[in-house]
Formats: sequence, structure tokens, C-alpha cells
Amino acid sequence: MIRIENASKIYESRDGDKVHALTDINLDIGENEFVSVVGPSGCGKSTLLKMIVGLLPITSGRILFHGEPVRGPRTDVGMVFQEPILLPWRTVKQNVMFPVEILRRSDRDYSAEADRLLKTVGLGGFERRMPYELSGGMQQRAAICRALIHDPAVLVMDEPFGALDAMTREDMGAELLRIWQQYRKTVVFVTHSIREAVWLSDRVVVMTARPAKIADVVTIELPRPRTTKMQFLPAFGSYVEKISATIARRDGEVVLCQD
Amino acid sequence: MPGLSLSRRRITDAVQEWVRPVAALILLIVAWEAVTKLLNVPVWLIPAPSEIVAATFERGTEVLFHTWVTFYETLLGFALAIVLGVPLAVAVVHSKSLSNTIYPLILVTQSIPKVAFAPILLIWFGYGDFPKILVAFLVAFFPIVVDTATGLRSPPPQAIDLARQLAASDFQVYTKIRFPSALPHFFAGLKVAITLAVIGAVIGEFVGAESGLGFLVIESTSHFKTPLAFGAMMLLAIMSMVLFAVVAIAERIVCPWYGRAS
Repeated sequence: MIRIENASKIYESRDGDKVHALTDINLDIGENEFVSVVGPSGCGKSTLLKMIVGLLPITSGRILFHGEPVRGPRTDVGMVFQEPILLPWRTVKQNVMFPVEILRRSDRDYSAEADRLLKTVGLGGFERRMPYELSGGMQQRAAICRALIHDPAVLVMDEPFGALDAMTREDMGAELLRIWQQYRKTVVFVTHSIREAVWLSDRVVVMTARPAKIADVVTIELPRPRTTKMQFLPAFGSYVEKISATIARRDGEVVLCQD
Repeated sequence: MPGLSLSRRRITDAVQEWVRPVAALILLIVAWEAVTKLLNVPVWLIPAPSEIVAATFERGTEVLFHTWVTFYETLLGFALAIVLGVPLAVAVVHSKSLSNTIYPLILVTQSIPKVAFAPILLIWFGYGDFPKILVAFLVAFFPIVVDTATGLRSPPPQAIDLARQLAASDFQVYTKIRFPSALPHFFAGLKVAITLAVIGAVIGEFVGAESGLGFLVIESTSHFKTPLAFGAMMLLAIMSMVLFAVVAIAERIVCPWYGRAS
């Protein structure tokens, strides 16, 4: 589905210094796969996401979607950020419909789907509310609906639950798994939490600090559908331990917050 | 009884918001009247409120005409500031090089004291309304450009990313994100600009005019008709407050979502 071949990103600072944000990234992401990326802050995870969706040009190497190189914005991707980024002058429903408007598709074709998505995430009846009337978790649910409305093949999430409290965070994880199972999307999920990555993913990509490289790719063989109880399985613990150890070994010091 | 306590609370709120300030104002006017009368203060020095009102009404139609002149000078200057200020703000935000070129120039025009510039405008454009409109425009222009530019830059970068990733055009980014985001800042600029525009028009009239409330102040003080000068001053204050209120109400109608915690 998505193939990343020898992708590198070099930023040039004002005084001409070259900063290697990403070096030689190789990764294959399968159809309907749930892949998480973990690594220390500032290791270029967000840069990688921006390159995947075509918002940032790649310095060398290439990224392919179904064999086709990414050259500009990929409209078949839905994005979710750490903050909900709902537009405060729009109702919840209008926010969900935002991509439909930008893509100049017919409102009528998607209106029912927007209602259905909102109902799926427990926001039925909130269609006409304004964002400020919603809690942080509810706003983020609306943001997920917005990412799904135009039926993208890929969902790209940049620490989507990072701003939420631990309880809401776990609920949202379960919710996301349910949506993923129902809509069958390919998910690329960046997180700071190793536990979250292990719990949600098929594979966890572990990155190192600068120059950012892939240190390891860990396949999580926990059964699906995942439940919160699985976090207490010994296998779960050993995955978390293994990933933590990889980061510690590569980094010298662990900069990760484990929740 | 929750219903009763709620309505009682509403009444106390109304008292806090309206009754007290109005009562304070009335008290001030009464005290002013009493002090000037009791101490026998000369009318040309500090007139009593009753004398101000009498003098103003005595030349009612004339005063009304002067008020109208200052009113439209203010509004035209203000409108011109919006019409030119908003596109300039867009230009400044859109292009870094344009911003580097224009911003210092705007700052220079803003740094020139308008009182010093007004006589020169008079030489250029004569005694008519135009120089007054121009001074009103010049003072109102700056806050509109600066605040609108700030507003256009206010949306979070992720909001722009969200649109860009959906292959949004520049036009869509402006109409769907930047302009609506800028509205609260735009209105903040308008509120400052409208009160400044009144002052600008008056400055223009001070320098040389045949009509307007600023002219009326100059003319009446030169003949020691202090009550009329006070009357003109009051009318200017009222005009300024009413215009401000109109902008504030427009703001509430246009961006009701602003100021709510998200």
C-alpha cells in the first residue's frame, strides 16, 4: 500500500547548516495495516508523516502509494493531529464536512455519512453544537470523523491522543480500534506511548533520535480484536520491554514517557 | 424555588450592568450643576450642564448640521481605511518580500504626527471635506492593517496543513480558514479605528474648516461661547460611543463563537 524507499530529509538552516531530519527510512505498510511509530521527541516522526501525505518534499529516496510516487498532497489520506483543530465558527457537522467542501464534492452525497460517523463515535445529537460546547475527547472524536468523511484509504494520526487524560485516552484507543475494524483503513499512528503503540498496532516502528533512523520494527502478535485486558498479558509486557530497551540502547538515555 | 432565585439574580445582574452606571452619571451631572451654581462659576469658564444643553438647543439645526458633517467625514475615512487596509493586510501576510517592503512604510506614515500633517493636507486639498476624511483614514488605517494581518496569521499551522493536504487552493485557504479566523482580530482593529477616526476628523477640522463639530469648538471658544463648545464636545463623545457600540454589536453578530473556551 505505502512503500517508503531510502527516504531522507535534510533541512537547510539559515546559515547554511544541513540538518539531517531523517536518514534512509525503509518501510512497507500493508493494506489495512495498523502501524505505529514511536521514538524520542524531535526524532522526525512528524516530518515522516508530512512526507507520506505529500505536504513536505522529500530530499532523496521515494515514497510510493500503490506503486505511484507521492509528488503532491494525497487527498486519499485523512489526518488527525494532537489538537482537534476544529474551526470554531463551524458546527460539529460543518467541521466534519470540511474535507468535502475543500474537495468540491457534493454536500448531499456526504451529509448522511457525516451523521452516521458522528453517531458511531457517540456524537449523535451533537451535529449542530459548536466546538466550544464539547469536551476535549469529544472534539477529538469529531476530528476523527472529519478525517474519515471523504473515505480515504489511509488514516494518518500524529499523536492524536497526546492531549487527552489517561482515562479518555484509553477509551479513544478502543474507539479507534473499533472504527479501524469497521472501516478497514490503513493507519499510520505516531505516539509517545509505547504501551499505546503495542496495544493498538500490528507493527511498531521504533525510531532513534537524530539522525533519525528506524532502529527496529516489532510485529505485535496479540490476537484481534484487542481488549484493554490484554495490557496485563505477559506477552504485552515483553513487547513494551523490548521496545523500551531498543530505544534505551540506541539513545543512551530514555526520553520516552510511558503514558 | 430555583425559578425565583434565577429571576432575582437576573435583576441584580441588570442593576450591576445598567442601573448603577446610569445613576452614577446622573449624580455626576447633578453635582456639576450644583457646584457651578453654588460657587457662582462664570459661564465662560465652566458652564453648568443646563447651560450647555440650552446653548446647544438654541442653535439646534446648526449643531445638527455640524454633527452630520463630522459623522460622514468619520465614516468615509473609516470606510476608506477598511477598503484599503484589508487588501494590504492580505498582501503583507501573503508575501514575505512585500511585507518587508510595505510594513516599514506603513510604520513611517503612522509615526508622523497627524496634527503636523493635517495643515499640509490642507495646502494640497483645500478647505473641503476631503482632507478631513483623509486624516480620519490615516489614523484609522493602521490598527485595521495590523490587527487584520495578525488575524490572518492566527490559524494554527495544522489547520492550514489540513486544507493543503486536501489540495486546497490559496483561495480556499483564505476563504475557508484565514478570513474567518481573522474576524475577531479585524473587529478589534475596527473598534480602535472607529474611535480614532472621530478624532482624526476633528483634527482635520481644527486645522481649517467651515463646518463640523471640531470647527464648532474652535469657533465658539474664540468667542468665549464655552457652553456651545462643551455641547459640541459632548456630541463628539456620544458619536464616538455610539459608533463603537455599533461595531461591538456587529462583532457579536458576525462572530458569536469568539471568546468561548474551546
